[in-house]
Amino acid sequence: MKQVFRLENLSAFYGNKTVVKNVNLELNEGEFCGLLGLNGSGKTTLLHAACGFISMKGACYVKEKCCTGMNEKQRAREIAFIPQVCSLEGGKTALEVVLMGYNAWLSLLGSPSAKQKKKALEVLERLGCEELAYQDFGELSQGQRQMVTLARCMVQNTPVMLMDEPDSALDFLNKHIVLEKIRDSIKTNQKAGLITLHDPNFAMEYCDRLFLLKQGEIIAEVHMGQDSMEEIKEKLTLIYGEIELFKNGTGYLMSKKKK
Amino acid sequence: MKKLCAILLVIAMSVTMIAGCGSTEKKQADTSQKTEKTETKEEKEPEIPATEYPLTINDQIGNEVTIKEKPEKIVSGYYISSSTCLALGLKDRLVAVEEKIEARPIYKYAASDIMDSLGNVGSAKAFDLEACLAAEPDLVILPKKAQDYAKTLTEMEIPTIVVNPESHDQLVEMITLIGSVTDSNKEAKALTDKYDEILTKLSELTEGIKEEDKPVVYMCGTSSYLTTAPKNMYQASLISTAGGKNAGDVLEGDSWVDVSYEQILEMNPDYIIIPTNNMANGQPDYSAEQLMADANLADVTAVKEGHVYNMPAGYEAWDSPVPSGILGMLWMTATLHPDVYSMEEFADEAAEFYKTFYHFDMDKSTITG
Amino acid sequence: MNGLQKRRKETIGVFLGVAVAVFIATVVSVCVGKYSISIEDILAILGGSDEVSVMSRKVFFTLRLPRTFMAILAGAGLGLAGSVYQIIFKNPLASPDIIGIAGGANLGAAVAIVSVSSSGMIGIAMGSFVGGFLAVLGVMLLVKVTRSRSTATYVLAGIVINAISKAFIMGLKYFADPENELAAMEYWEMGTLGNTTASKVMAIFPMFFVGFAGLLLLRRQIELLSLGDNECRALGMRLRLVRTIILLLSTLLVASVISITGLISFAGLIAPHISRLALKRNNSLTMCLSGLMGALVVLAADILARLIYSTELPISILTTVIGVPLLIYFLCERGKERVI
Repeated sequence: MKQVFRLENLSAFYGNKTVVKNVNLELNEGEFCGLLGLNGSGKTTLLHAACGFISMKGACYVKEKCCTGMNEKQRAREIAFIPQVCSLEGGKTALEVVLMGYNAWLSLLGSPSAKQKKKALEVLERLGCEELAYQDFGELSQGQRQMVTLARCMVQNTPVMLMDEPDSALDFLNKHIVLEKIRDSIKTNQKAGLITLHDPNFAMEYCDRLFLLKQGEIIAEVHMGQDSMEEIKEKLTLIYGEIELFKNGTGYLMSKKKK
Repeated sequence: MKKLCAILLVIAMSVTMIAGCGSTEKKQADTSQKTEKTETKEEKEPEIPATEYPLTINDQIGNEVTIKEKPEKIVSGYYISSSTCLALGLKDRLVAVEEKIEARPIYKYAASDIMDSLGNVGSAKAFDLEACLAAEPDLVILPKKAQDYAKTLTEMEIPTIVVNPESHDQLVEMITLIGSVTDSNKEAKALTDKYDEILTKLSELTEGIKEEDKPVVYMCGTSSYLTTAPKNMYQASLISTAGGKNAGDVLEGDSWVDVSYEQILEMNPDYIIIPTNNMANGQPDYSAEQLMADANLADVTAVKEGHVYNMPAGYEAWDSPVPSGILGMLWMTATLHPDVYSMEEFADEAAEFYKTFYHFDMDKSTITG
Repeated sequence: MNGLQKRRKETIGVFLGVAVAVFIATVVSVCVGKYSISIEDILAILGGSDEVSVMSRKVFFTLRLPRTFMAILAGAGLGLAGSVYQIIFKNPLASPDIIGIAGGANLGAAVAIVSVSSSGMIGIAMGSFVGGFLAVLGVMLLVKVTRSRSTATYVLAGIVINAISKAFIMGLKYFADPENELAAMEYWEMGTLGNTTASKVMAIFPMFFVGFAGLLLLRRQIELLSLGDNECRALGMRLRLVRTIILLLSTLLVASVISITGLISFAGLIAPHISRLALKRNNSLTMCLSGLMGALVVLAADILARLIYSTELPISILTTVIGVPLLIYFLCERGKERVI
């Protein structure tokens, strides 16, 4: 499996406080990995640092190209980012939002071509929301908005996708739908994806590997296909404390240990 | 008869020379060119020659202006030049003047018949070019602060002169300039001669007054009586011509200066004068009663002796360089030195002035009460 | 696609409506003035006939036409700039004041009035232009010094620069001569189209054009800037570069306009607001409509300024009189439905 994304000794700071300490991780082609950790463990900071929003120490590589020194435009051709909530409030159609994803590939004064527009509509279709294309983004539900944002991310056509809890505002059903679509698009297009999640159950269900983050450091790595149930439980306990692990079909379910 | 005229002319010329030499204000350059035809010192003939057109002169900011023929339609965008036109007998040739003429009493007296038909060209800073052009003028007179508009008018080939009467000398210069440009040199000379006559009279009246006997006069500002005129202002020269000492002479500056109660008490003026506030802006924001009732000023000599007066505002702003501003000097003298020059005498002179130059009968009781 | 077609029709309708209104206002503006030129005369002048008097022709070409043209330019420029600021600062109350251009231009004009007494309009125009630019440069410098990378910092820096400008202006006003200089300063602050001549319009037109066209060309980037800073970066926008270019272009646009007209208040605030509510969108179309609306507002204000009173009123009075009721109306509308 080809390595697509690598973080080397990444450290990130807020003022004097070191929030992320010496993180090393790698993603391979077609892999959908999850980043787990409690509040304040540094998940979001790690992603922001990798995306270049905040300054950091260490290096970030996409397909062996060093991204640390790149400007925003170059970086956006390698790494795409889905935030928790799209900051747009309204006033644009869903299609217009998706077309924003082409920005890294267009010149300053350029506009998306008809071909690109068609491709954007195709992406929406693949995600099952082509009927939303001409509706106002502000009038869509949260779930629909996240789909549109995902479409934008896909249109950006980068080898790496980083996602910061994109499911947090979604209801139970929509969470599943969105995560499934994300996993499918990563597999189909052979990208590498890293997603931060609060709920380890969703992570275990959809991700290939899990990185466990505690106080800014990666303390464990879980291979969903390879590790045994006891190994997984042991690693999860490092973060979540007293837990129980149950088998659920081919996957697992975690819940708090009952006295 | 001719001999008498010649002698009078020589006296007039001598007085003019003395008055001219005695002034300290800055003179505009190249004004001698235009005064050639009116104030010739070499000519012995008593006749004042008419203006020959086309005439090229320099206006009061140094622009060279050519007037092709005698102007029959004059637009004046400034209250001082408008009043001058009236005094030079140009009433029938005025087609448009500055705004707010209802606020200036001189129009009611001297030009009531044309007030309704006169065009309105706005104020100096907001000059209405189109209204001016609508009156189809062949001469436009504008003040210095409207000089940009003057440039535009000149571009459109309308003869425009810019005037700047900031002092008595510049007023005289302006009168002579307008007289020359409009071919009313005789009237202009009569007016300036009158000034010289009055100034001579004033210096004679006040020369007997010793320096230490000259009263200290405090001229208030228009928005507050805690403002006064420093040495270089017109109002200061008004006071000194009238045989007084300007309280504000100790202050620096070219325009109104704020002072504190303490400073006024230190100046301790013998007389306090409330100005006219140039009329178009309304009356000053305070009255003589308010000033005298102010406890902080109770120890000032002027207040104690009741010598707080309003500059009369029923005709023109006598405390600014207007054509009848000379009367302000006379009024001040009568106020400061009634033993030398009485208010009744002043009323007579003022009435005569307005009759001669503005052709109306002044009601003397407005002065003498 | 019914919704799409309906919306497209609505949009075209709105644009047409405003364009027609602008055309009518232009015609009216060209016909109005103290120097009466009848419509037949105007048509004759435009047709190149010799029958019209020389003075009428002069008034038309030197005063009337440039003035109308300037009103359109001023309105379009302020409207477009206001729309851009409202988008990139994500603030529906943003206007050319927000990053200090107006304050800086005001200070520059005041300095010119007080210091060089015989400078006249050219000096004041240059002073206000330079002042406007220096203010924006000051804002950008402040942002750089704080080493912040967020858009909100620009607004804060703008507040600082505006405050500094106001303080200096107050000082200048205190020491100014009330008869001449103070009056001139107050007058400049209220704005007027009365001083417009053809030569002045020619002088600023190149800069105006560069600013206006530049902003229109960058409309996609401006639209993107309505997202949060991080999202913009994630989408590959070189934030600092793009923001700087947009700010400089908009400053060029606004400064060139107000160096001739003085401060025209409200136009840059209300035109984008109305456009946004009329189109229910906030994108590059809104920017274009905002330019048109701005032209309409300023034209209407200028016509009224000449007609209402016997002498000409400063234009800011009229733009405020027109703008405030409109704003109140739209505030009420905003409460009724969920608008942007």
